[in-house]
Amino acid sequence: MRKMVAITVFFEVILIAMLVYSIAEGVSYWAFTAFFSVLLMTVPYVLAAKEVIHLPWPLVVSIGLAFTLHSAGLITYWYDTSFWWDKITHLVSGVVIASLAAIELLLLDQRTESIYIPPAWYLFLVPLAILTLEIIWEIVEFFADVLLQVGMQHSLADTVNDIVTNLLSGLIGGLGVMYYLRRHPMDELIANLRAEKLIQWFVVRFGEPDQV
Amino acid sequence: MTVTRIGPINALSIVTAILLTFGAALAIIRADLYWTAVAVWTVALITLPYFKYRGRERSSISGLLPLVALPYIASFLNGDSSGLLPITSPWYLLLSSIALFTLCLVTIAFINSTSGMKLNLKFAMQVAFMFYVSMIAMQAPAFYYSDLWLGTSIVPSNYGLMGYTALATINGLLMTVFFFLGARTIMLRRSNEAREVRE
Repeated sequence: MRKMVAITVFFEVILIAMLVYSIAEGVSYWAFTAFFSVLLMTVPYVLAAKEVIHLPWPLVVSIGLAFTLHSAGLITYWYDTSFWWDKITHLVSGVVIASLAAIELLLLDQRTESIYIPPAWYLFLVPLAILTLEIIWEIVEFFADVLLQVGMQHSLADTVNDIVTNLLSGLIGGLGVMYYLRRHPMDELIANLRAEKLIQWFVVRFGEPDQV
Repeated sequence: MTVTRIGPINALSIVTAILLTFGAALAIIRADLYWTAVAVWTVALITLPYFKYRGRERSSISGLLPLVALPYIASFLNGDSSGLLPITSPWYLLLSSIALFTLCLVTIAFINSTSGMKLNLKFAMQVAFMFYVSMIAMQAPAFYYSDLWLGTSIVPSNYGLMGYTALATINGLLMTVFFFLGARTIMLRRSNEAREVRE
């Protein structure tokens, strides 16, 4: 828990500094982005404090990194001046989301009798989850551009590159889970997550046994 | 996820496989690699149970596979175009949604019955939806790079692609709910019938 607090405080300081800079520059889009990043960065700590789930610390670092890279890309204009910045942020956030999706699948697999996922199939399911979230995100960007003219989608090439980058991060996430499950007992990871409340929620939502 | 069981292959499956073989040829002529792959995949789904999993029970959901042939038939009737059908046409939106969702649903049922993976109905439908959305997503790079490297002109603009993607995703959501409720009703009815027989 102490490590979690240290990581959260570290990234909050950076994000709040970028929020202050954004307000000082008077750019509302940067400020809103930094503000929501500050709020969302507290989520892993809150979840741990409420005993919902204790996310592994490397994942919390990756979450902080994803928010920091995104806000830094906005205030430095690196999204506009470097073609690779967008790819890096998508790849990092994609791997974070892939890890979260993999944890959800692991919990379902372990604690739901009517679901069993062999390790090799994570390589199929994790990219599906990431591509679905990517498309939902692209649709949100599309409607934001149509309704608010905020310029979130730059071009057709940008949309295609985002999809390919997220597919890549989904594959990295899936391979990571396969690699992990071949070297570590799954029970150990599940026990470290201390996610009983979350598991109960999953079992209620997904765990109904087949009727026939 | 088992709704009901039928034999591995029938006349309708053979007709569908023949139709899709012609569909694959049509897609190749129009330099549409995506729909060529879809046709090959569907033919494999029809024929694989006959050659590799002969005698094994399979979901009656596979009886929906003829729906995958719809975009190919429409393309044949539509005449010449870049790609199977123009991506911005309402026909493409409707028929590709039905065909791709059917293909994803049958593939998940096939995986469920032949691999070691075990999914209950609720989770299987969610996986089928994610699979479908991923298939919609993969059209973007497939068509974009086809336009770039093969000289086709399938994707008119980012606006056209995203409009299609948004509406196709909504279609997928509606089909997921429809099939989930339908499958659950059938399973409950069969469960009740089995209980009555036992009593």
